[in-house]
Amino acid sequence: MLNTIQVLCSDIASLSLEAKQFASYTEADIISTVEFNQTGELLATGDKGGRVVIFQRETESKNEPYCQGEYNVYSTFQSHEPEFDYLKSLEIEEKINKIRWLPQQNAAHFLLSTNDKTIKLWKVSERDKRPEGYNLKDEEGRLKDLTTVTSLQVPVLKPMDLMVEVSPRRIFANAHTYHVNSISVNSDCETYMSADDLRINLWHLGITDRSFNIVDIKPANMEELTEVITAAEFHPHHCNLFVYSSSKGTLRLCDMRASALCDKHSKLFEEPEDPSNRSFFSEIISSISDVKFSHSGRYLLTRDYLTAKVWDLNMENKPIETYQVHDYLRSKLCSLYENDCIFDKFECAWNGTDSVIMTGAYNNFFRMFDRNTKRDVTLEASRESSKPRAVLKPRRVCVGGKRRKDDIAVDSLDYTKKILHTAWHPNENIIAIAATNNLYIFQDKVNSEMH
Amino acid sequence: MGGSSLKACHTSNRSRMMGKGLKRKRLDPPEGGSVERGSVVYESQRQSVLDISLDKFQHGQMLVEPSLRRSVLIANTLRQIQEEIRLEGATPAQVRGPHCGAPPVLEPCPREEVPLTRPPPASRPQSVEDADDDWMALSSEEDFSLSSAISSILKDLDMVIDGGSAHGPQAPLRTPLGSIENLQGEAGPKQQQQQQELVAGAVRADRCTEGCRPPEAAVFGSFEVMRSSYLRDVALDDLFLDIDTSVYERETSPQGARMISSAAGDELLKYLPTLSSPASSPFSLSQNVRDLNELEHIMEILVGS
Repeated sequence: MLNTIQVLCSDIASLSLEAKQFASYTEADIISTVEFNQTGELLATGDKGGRVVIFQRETESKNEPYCQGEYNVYSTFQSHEPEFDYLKSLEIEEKINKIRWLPQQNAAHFLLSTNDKTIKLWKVSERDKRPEGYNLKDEEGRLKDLTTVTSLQVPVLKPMDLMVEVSPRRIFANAHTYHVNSISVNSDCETYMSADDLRINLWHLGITDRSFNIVDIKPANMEELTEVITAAEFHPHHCNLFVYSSSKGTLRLCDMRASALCDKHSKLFEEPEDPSNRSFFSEIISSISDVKFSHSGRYLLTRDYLTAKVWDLNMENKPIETYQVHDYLRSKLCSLYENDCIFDKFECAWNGTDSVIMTGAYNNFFRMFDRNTKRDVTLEASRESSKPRAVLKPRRVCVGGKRRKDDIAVDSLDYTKKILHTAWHPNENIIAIAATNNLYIFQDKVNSEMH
Repeated sequence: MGGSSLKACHTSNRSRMMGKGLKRKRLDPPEGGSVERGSVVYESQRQSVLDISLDKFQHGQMLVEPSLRRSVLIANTLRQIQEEIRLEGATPAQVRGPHCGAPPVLEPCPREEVPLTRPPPASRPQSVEDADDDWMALSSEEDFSLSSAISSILKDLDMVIDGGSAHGPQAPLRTPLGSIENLQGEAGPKQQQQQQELVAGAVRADRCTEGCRPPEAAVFGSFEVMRSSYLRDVALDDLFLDIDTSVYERETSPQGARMISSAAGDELLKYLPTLSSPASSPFSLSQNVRDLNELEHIMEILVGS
């Protein structure tokens, strides 16, 4: 099962580290997505086994006013099951590709989860009272023998232990031929989009039997296919704008006001290739694995294999900032191609004020870049360094030159330990890092200098 | 898949390369720089990338999670190498048959630009015999098989991910039924959307729905063409060889004559020697309607008698 390791400023102990240190895990336990809700109170993870685990942050305790509580498991449910399409003779994996929370509108929370084909809308609600004293049903809900009913009574609500109920509300199926890689809820709170390798569909959250295809890049002849859609997202404030990235390293901004079918982009963001860095793998490493709008909506953050880039919506010809995530891999590309690591899809995240960006790397390392000070840091999500209240020590990968103590050599990096999925609390310095089957939650110490 | 560390992958790759008798000093380029094009190191690198890519394709179908992104990126890498090799001028144009399904970009250039783009002899690895052999081998059969491999693999992958639905049941999606229920696939709503646009009077001059977005009908059409050409190549000839010619002479109706394909027409002409003109070119579908009418007329007479 999922392990959570927390490093918080409080005294609250995290999960028993020793006991689980060597716990084995199965493929199904590998975390495949992490997502905070709009307030940051809830954090959802999805795994390859089709499960969704929701964590809730404990409310601030009065004894320790400076420290907020840790995240505890709130609810766990099976979102998707493995399926078999008998007509097409295809297996459909249950792996959760993405989770997106809907803005909260009442006491209940809603989230969308998707596997390769089917998107589901889930309602997460609490219940702490239950009705008792029905006339026709007994406590277990069975019909009473009518002959025993001699008087009428009024059912009453009685308090009970808090129960979290998760129920499926909508199932959006049969609209995607290829694998869904992104879902994004629109700022109008009524629609959302789903993107697969070749198409993007627009849905109304309340309507499951109809969707509108807004982008289709499938060539008439599949042999001519040279480009796929890798990620897509709505603008955080303008409900008519969305962006999608491609395997050729381009970003396309589309305006649904311009036309209902957005095959033609409004803006194309693309950086010309640097001829000095040209190699057989130029296209592969320029393929964009993730794209995120900044909270302000002004910038776009993209991740390709070796770099993270920040684009200004007002400048299409090049990014305004380029950050090297692990440039030392540039000389290893052939090996990384052979062992398929070069196709890893690293995601990226903004902090709440758009001043810091974060993305994952190999060896359970993740990187943070401060856009203002231009400082960057490599941190490691590991059990050893993640004792409760411990401050993470910056790590350093030794690239040529003299090797300092605690440096790690490029050849010693573990390429099976990769951090693909990360999430940043919407307005606090709390981050969630998915490392295989472990979820690490780190919090900035008050007034500390984490970055 | 990603289970092996870099070191392990290095050694396995090296041993494979040694097995092929190719001298390779380093798999990866030296620190911070790319290898000069045309050098031995470069070509051995290219050869190894090519080997790895082809290997990936062969084993691609066994992946637990078939990824279109991965396959497209590998295919593009292969195309790039293929194009490079082609530009180096070792590709005889006739090697590639007309049935090579490669994209137009990959089609051999018939012009004599080849010697111009060929690298200067000094930079070519003439001293390295095995490398040269490999290089030559690559440029002929392998190159041909490469382009067809890329295209067939992409199509196969489409079948794997898509279940071939784009070719069959999904093709005629744009039916009124499709727009009612999502269950029929995604094209229905699109059609409906187009209808809505029309209703709203939002017919834009710049966006002809027929032109900008090839409708599924067009896709279907192209597959139809492929299928029929396939049939013509393989099945029809055999089919018609077994047919008793008397059937033709007796029973082929004018309607039948109108529907015959080129191969059938060819067969037909063989058995109607008196009807074929001296310059009897193969009876093709592109021949004009007058010929067909003429044939129909003659057939009517034959059947009538």
